[in-house]
Order: sequence, then C-alpha cells, then structure tokens
Amino acid sequence: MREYDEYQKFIRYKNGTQAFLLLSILLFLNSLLNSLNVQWGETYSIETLFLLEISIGYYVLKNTYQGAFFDKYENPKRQSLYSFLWGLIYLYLVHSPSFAIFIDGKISQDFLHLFVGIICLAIPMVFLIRTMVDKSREKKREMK
Amino acid sequence: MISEFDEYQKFLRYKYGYHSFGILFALLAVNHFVDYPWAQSTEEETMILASVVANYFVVRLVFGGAYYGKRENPVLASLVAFVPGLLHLSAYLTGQSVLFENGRLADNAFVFFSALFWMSIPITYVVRAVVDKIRERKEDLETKSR
Amino acid sequence: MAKNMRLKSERAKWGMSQQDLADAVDVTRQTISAIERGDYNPTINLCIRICRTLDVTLNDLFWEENDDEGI
Repeated sequence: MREYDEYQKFIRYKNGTQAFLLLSILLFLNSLLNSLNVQWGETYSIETLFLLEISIGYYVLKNTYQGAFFDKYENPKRQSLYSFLWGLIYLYLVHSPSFAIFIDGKISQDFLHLFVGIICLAIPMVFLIRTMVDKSREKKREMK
Repeated sequence: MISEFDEYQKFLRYKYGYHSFGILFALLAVNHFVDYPWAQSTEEETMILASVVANYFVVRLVFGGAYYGKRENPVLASLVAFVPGLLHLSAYLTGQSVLFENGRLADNAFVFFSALFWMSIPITYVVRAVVDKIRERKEDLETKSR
Repeated sequence: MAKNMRLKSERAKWGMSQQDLADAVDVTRQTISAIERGDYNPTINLCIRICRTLDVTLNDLFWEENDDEGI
C-alpha cells in the first residue's frame, strides 16, 4: 500500500480533479464531433480509450513533476528506471509486422498501445527535468 | 472562481474530484472491456456514465458543504437548480418517453439522467440541512448536560 | 484525528456560534465544524486567524499533549 504525506495527497487530489474535468470536457467535445459525424478513431471505443489515456497521462506526469507520484518510501530513481524499462519492453511486445498506428487516417488500437508506452517512457524524463529544475533553484538560493 | 471557496471546501472539492476521476476511469474501462450493450449506442453509454459520475461529484459536494461558495445563498441557489430539473423531468414525461427499449436504456434516457442531476442538488441540500440540525440539537443537549 | 474541544470551549466563552466564528475568520460554518470534530487540519494561516479572533495563542487551541512522550 503506497503511503503519501499530507501535501502529496493534496496535490494528487488537485491533479485528479483537473484530470476529471479534462476528461469530462474531452468526452463532451467528442460527443459534439460525433453528432457532426466526425470520426477520428477506428471505433468510438478507441476514441474514448484514447481520451482516457490523455487524462491519465496528464494526471501521472503532473504528479511526477510535482513530487506526488512516488511515495515517501520509494526510491524515485529506481522506480523511474523500472518505468523506463517497462515502457521499452511494452513497446517491443506490442510491436508486430502489422503494427499500424493509423488506419484510413484514423487512430487504431496500436496507437493506444504506443501512447501507453510513451507515458511510461515520459515518467523518468519528467522526473529528470524536475530534478534539474530543483538543483538549479537550489543553486540560485545558495548564491543569494 | 475557486477563491470564493474556503480552504476546507477547496480540499473537499479536490478530494471528491479525485474520487470521481477514479470512478469514471474505472467505469469507462470496464464498459469497454465487458462490451455488453446496455444502451442504444456506445456514445450514449459513455455520456450516461459521465453524467452519473458528475452527479456523484455534485451530490458529494453539496452534502459536504463544498458546492456553494462562502457568499452564495444556498437556499436560493438550490431553488434555482430545481427549475432545470423540473423542466428536464417534464420534457421527459410529456414526451411519452420510456426508460428501457428492447432491454437497453432508450435514446432519451439521457434527458432523465439530466433531470436527476439537477434535482439531486436541492434534495441533497435539504437532507444535509436536516442532518446538520439534528447534529446541532445533539451537541446542544450534550453541552447543557455538562 | 482527535476532536478539538478547546476550540469549542473558547468559542463558547465568547458566546459565539460556529457561524459567528466562521464569519469572523472568513470561512464557512462547515469548516469550523470539521475542525472541531477533528475531521480537518486547518492551515497555519487559518489557525492564526482563529486564535486572533478568540484572543488565545496557538498552543492554547492546537497543541496536543502526549503523556507517554519523553522530553
């Protein structure tokens, strides 16, 4: 069971609410597009899943940047490495000779797999960016 | 807009929003993988699930005292929310609508869920006001008995 | 979280209802109720505003004594 401190919980709640609003707005906009017979995914289900992935990606990456993804007892460097390796393995496993992210100009099931892999790869990158930002802020403070 | 709420209200809004995100995510994912048609189309299923979760979010906010801002009049605002609820409900009832068609939710079930959404706001507010009054009386009795 | 009975008794000393205190510190009545029930930890800024209104110190209202803790 993950253990987050008070501030991390608050940040997770805040980002969760923003992700909820984002998902609701995207679903509503997609229903408007649907009523205009605009289809951008192979099926409506694929469109919905992609919108879900966008919102979960936003939630996870924002938490990572704000220090609320890894809990108090986890080693963030190790967990980031696992996430990176998992992203690579996942992309390798879903990749096949018939891998096609677009079919007739619309996103396919393979695009969803690709996006999941990208999110896993993005977690350590965001963590690295945050570490660099924190280090540069510390240096500025020390210079003052 | 968010500054009209105090810190506890903001905390509750974020907490219930986070819960709503988790619930909506789980429902949409399960609905996709179970793949059993329970409404006329997948679009309708998605919109109904989204409206049910939005309803849950709003009801929890109203019950937790975090729906209305510090300076709003909740009684007046609840009455205002009652009006679209009544309009949606009358539109649904006068349209000779049915909720189920061939074992699935009908096309205009969404109108029913919209009516439910708006009417749940004043109803929840009344329930909360009654709970608060009962709690206040219990506390007054406890204070007097000390 | 434990109930904050000291807040309740200080409020009662001034003859203030939860609504009166809430208005004085610019929060809702439910927030004061949640603090007194122990359901919410207010921020330090809100704690200070409450203490100023009731003319007490932070220790008076928010310090928790643990008898089994050594100094």
